[in-house]
Amino acid sequence: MNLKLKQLIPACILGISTLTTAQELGNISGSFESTTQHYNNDDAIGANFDNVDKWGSNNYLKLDYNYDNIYAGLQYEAYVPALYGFDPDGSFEGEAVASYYLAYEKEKFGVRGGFIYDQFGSGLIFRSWEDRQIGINNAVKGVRAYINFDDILNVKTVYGRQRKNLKETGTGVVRGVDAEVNLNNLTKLNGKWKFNVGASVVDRYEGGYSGPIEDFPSNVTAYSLRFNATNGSIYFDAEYVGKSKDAYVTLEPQIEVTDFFFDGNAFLANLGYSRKGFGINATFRRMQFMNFRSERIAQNNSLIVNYVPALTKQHDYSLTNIYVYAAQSNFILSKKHAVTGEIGGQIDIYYTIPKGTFLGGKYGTKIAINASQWNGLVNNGFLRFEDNKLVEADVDNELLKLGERYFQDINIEIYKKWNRKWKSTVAFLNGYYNNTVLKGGPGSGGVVKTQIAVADVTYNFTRRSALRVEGQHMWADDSTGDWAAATVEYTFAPKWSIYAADMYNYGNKKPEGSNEPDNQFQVHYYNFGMSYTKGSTRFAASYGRQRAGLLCVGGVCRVVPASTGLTLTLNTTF
Amino acid sequence: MKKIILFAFFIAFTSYMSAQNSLPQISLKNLKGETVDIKSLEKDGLVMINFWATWCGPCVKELNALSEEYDEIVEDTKVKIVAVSIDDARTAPRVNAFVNGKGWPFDVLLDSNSDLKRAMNVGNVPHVFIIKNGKIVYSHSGYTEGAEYELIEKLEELSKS
Repeated sequence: MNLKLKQLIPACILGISTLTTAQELGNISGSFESTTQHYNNDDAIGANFDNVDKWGSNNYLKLDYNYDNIYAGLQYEAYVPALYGFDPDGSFEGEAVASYYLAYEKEKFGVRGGFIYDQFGSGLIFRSWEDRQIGINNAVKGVRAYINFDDILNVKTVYGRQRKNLKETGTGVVRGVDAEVNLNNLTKLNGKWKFNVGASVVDRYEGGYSGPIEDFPSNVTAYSLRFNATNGSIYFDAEYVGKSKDAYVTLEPQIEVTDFFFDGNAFLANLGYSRKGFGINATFRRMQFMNFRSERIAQNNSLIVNYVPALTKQHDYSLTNIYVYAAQSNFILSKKHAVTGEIGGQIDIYYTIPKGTFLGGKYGTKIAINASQWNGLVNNGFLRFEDNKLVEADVDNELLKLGERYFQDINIEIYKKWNRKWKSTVAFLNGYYNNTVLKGGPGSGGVVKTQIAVADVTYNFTRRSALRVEGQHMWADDSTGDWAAATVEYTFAPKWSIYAADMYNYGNKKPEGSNEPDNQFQVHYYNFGMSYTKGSTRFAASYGRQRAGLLCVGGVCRVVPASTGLTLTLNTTF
Repeated sequence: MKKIILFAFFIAFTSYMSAQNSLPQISLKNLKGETVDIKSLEKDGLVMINFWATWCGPCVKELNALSEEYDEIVEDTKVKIVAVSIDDARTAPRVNAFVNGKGWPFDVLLDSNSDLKRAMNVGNVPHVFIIKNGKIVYSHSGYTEGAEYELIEKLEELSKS
């Protein structure tokens, strides 16, 4: 059946498209993305590609067909071979029509079969999505249906197995139902305030357990309740998720399902206010044991059922992405550290100092302030280990007490346009990073405190050509020391851009008496490149050094190995 | 090599086929909590859809630049500008504060699981589509300093034709 369907959809699309013109029998659209890297050996960063393929290439061709209310599509993927670090367990080799769908969808009713992307609420209970940079694609292969009753009740259901890699799905079955009620339409109150309530249930079944425990949780069921209210200016959202007992999986000494079961829960609340020129937003989240996978032992970014992103500011300067927080939902219980969840929050303030004032100048000055802090939970129970193996576990977490601090970031960014020629951004960040728990930083562990200063200036020569110069410095009390970075970029709109950048870990001095080679200290991570854009096609080429570490997009990370070499990317939409 | 030829063939072939595209059947929430059916934008004469995210520097630059010229653009071309945020649950809660804090005048829609982004085959943000009488007539990806002038010229040209 699978094979037939796989062959049928592309055949149909090609058949239809060759027979007719776009307007008469529907539209075809699509995209193509290709990233190819060549890797060189580089002693300074420990990159060695002697006995492996020096090329990696990830390619995606997506085609979509639409006629009236019928939608169909497929995604062909080729990893020839996959980029290093993209594929930790080697399952992304080769090429395949890796996903496809066929759907009949109208405003009030729709059904879809094939690979499905969806989320319930904010995704805290269920989200299937794709992020090619991170190498995540947990689409549910199965069916989805939605129906809307008089704009009051919206119900949707998803049933299937999650995509595990290029050709396989996981063994666990995921099924979910979500309902959302529009309270305004229900009560016929149509004021400025809009109210919605929602509820979902998601169940995962994974058989295959053959151990001695009678009530082993093959089914794990999560339910959620959510509420949101807004008048466009004030807004409030809250969501609670409860998750039934799930087997705890140890990572050390090997990945293994244990006899310990824990139930999980999460509470997320968000409150904000805004008016023209000012906005404030505050988020709180507490969660424990929210690692939810459709196969118990799945690791990394494989077979994730729910979405628990790091709720911190996603910075866009290079030095601000060295000590990056990752939400603590993949739990570690060890003698030294018992990570069972996290509690914390963040506040954002955006303000534009009005035009025509002393500080606002001719164009207004834009200020963004963000502060976030995340801590572990306080466990009143106990954990007992024998030879580093968990033998007794009693988790009884305090509701609101803050445990060990994991992360803090307080930052401010000020943007000012001075006149038609000059623009500038300055930013300052103060960070706290618990590298022992989070393990994302370059040093060997411990708490790292950082301060980062950024200045970013753009000068417009003409309407279309501009030079941007950016300087950054990071003071870090880590064993690897301080960093400096600079970028120079020249753009000629709307087509051309060239840049050169360097990140210099000058504080990482060679300790006296060290036998390590000199060139492994005070490393320059240089990069230079160009891009050319025409319409919706973009080509970019760059050459440089990639630091080993976490590459994070949207709060989900993957480990990238150190590498030096050429990168070519092509993106097009049609 | 065969694969590459196949890709090239597909691209050439499909770009020929899809000269004009309509908008997909997707509903998104706006910042007032109302549901907006994307297809309903086809009724507006000239529409510009800008995909962006709070964490995307070039996107914010593009929308800052367009917001500075907004009054003149709208007066001259009668375009409706819709900024579709692809911020997911990580950053979506701050979109309202962000947009108002920057004083942006655009209609903003929340595409928090990238449904519209996927349906319109957007690779990276920023990505702009211009829609006239329900058909996509222009698209552009990326932003470099000053690229807004090309968009404005395009809108002026389309508003006259």
